[in-house]
Amino acid sequence: MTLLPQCAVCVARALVLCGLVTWLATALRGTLLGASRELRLWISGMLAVLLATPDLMVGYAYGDFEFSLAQHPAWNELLYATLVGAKLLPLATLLAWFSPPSPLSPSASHCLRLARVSFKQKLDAWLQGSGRRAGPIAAVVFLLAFQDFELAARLGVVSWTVRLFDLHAREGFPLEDSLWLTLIPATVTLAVALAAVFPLLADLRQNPTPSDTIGAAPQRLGNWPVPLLIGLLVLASLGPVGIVYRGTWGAWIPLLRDPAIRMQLLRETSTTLLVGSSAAVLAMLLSRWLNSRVGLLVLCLPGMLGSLVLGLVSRGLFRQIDFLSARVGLPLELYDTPLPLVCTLTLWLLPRAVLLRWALRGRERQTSVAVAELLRSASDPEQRATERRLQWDLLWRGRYWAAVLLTGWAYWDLTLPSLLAPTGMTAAPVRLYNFMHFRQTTILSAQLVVTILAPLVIVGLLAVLAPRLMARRSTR
Amino acid sequence: MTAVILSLVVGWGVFLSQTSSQTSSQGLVVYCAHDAVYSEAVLRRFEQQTGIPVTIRFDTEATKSLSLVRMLLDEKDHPRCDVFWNNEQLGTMELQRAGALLAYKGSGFARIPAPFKDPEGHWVGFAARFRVQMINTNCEPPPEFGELPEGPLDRVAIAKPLFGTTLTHYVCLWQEFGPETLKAWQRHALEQKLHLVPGNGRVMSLVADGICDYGWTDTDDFHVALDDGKPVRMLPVRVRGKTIAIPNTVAIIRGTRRLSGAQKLIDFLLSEETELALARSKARQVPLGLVTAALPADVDRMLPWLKTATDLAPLFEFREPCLRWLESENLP
Repeated sequence: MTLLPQCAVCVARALVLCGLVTWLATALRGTLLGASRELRLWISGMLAVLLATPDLMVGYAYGDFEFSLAQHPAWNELLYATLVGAKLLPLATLLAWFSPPSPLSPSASHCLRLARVSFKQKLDAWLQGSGRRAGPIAAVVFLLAFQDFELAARLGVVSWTVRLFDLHAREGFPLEDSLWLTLIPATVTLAVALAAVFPLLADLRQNPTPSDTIGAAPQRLGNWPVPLLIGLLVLASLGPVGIVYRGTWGAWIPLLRDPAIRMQLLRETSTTLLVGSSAAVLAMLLSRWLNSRVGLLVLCLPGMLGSLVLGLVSRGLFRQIDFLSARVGLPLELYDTPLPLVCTLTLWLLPRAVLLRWALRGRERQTSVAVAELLRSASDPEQRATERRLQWDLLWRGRYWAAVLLTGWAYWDLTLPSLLAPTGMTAAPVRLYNFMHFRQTTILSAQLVVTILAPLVIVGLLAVLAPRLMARRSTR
Repeated sequence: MTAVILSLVVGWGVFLSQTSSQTSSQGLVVYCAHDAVYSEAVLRRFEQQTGIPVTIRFDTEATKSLSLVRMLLDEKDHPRCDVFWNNEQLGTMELQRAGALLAYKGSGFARIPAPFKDPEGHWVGFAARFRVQMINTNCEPPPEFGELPEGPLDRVAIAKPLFGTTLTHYVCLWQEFGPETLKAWQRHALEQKLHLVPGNGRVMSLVADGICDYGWTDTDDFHVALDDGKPVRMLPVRVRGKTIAIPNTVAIIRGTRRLSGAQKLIDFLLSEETELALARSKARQVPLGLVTAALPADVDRMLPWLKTATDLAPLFEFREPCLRWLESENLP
């Protein structure tokens, strides 16, 4: 199958997924709005667990099971689509939660349903109302589903990304050929991305008022999405966690006794975290510093092409820079350094950072922050500590979790480190992936658990310590 | 925010200082296509014995990596790598044809028999694996198959023949049976639902789990299943009576700035000690040179297959047309 039909298959799959996931995410938003505090916490927790489950673990856990589906490609396709849908649901729900309310009130919508109007009028009303919220969410889900590479490669389904990588692996195309090959997927991506990004960028420039985030009265939808969410959680998160954890029995003592493996895990985990957090911080800073709508759009476009296309083009570009600089007698030798990886990860994360900034814009209310800042000059240390705590609550908590999310995406990305990491720098997930084709083993499962838990422990510690440290600093 | 940026700066400082000590003027850069799980221990032993630090870039399984051969060809004019440890032969010969390799005939060169090395010393083979037919012993009745099996193939698996040892296998079939016969068989095999999967590891899993009755893979993958207690046995692939032994190959990259260290590593890899270590590893690779110490029983069993091994060097001229055809087939 050539790249074009594979693209068509991926477009069809992404369209189905974006419809289903957007619908479910919007329904979950409705459930969340009408839910009790406890239920809301449970739902948020389940979504957070789904979001924090790395693709690598899901692929690893289902790797052996997928073999049994070799005779049934349709079931394999269904499993893959469900896993991708489950992976995208938390992000879609997050976007639905923070998206601006419909300009049509529920009563206006109800009146419209009762009125005898044409289909076109109903469509127009939907586009102005619910569609305005659903559009960007659907576009984001479409893009991420269309660009998926790691799960597709692991589960062996038809995908243009896997095909493109195969072609590169054999031919090692120069930069211009790479760009030519990616023309069709890039066109699809850009068309959808541009449609989604312009409204978001416009929203970013507006200073939201509190009423923006409250929105119209929630439509009570009942709790029917919750069992569906639990099902997805079991399939795409708890199931894989159980399979991998069960596989670690008997491996912990050998792992703890082997200093070489311990050191290797420590080195690779810390290096991957360093690269990921640097890219995350840079992406967040860029998303905040760039005020120009066009500038932000131009910088966001490469990241919207997905990690595979971006990685291949970046690889060609940095090699070209080295080659050209050597020709003019100023050898830069950037290609085999961490710079291409960090820069490309930053570009890949930038659209996500913009999305998160968009999501947080209602939370960071400038008037509240300014009021809190008045306490900074207070003579009473307790009041200064209160100011720090308020700053944390109003400003830094959201940014911290946004940075954690971005770092997590960068930490678990397999594609960019496998294409761009310099000699001697192996990302922890890439190394684990290399070992995974030898089937599931206890020691590998244990290493996977450590690779997952180590950053989570750091994230948890920082979440507890950061506000206290901030408050303590102000009391001195 | 200042604290975060400071922490990152300190982290990068530590990382870069460690990296620069590893890639010092004496440290070797090795590109290694052999599985890290087997090769890393060997390279670390070299470090311990010689004190020469080694920085390794590993290849990755199936589609997840751009091939190291391709990378070395791209870097030919500005090489970063000193020594290339490939897990097969034809790719290394492609580098030789491109003028990317430096000849060296050291102590290791003399150990290895002539069919497994370049006479000029541009590359030398060591520690081979074989292409095998891996069979699930629970499948009833036992399958009967030849070199190009007929009949229903919906319970038979092979890796996509675009890479690695499966490509060598196909090139061998291309040479022995001719392009037209192979193309006709391939069409028939796909009509008969032959499973084309991303890698040899997956072939092994399909057969080991009984999803497929048999498949073509390599001995190292077969032994992984055997060690797992799976109900499997193997037969060597024979094309016109000849087995397909695929050696690791090692070569010095032309333009290396660490020639002395590179030569030491080549001699170390071609030594009896390394071949014995790889024979005793879970991969059970078969030594090509003389080994005086006792070999594991599994390796002993494969040693006679070496005597009937196909000479891979003449296959090189068929590799390109075979690969072009496979690419034009747009395999699923």
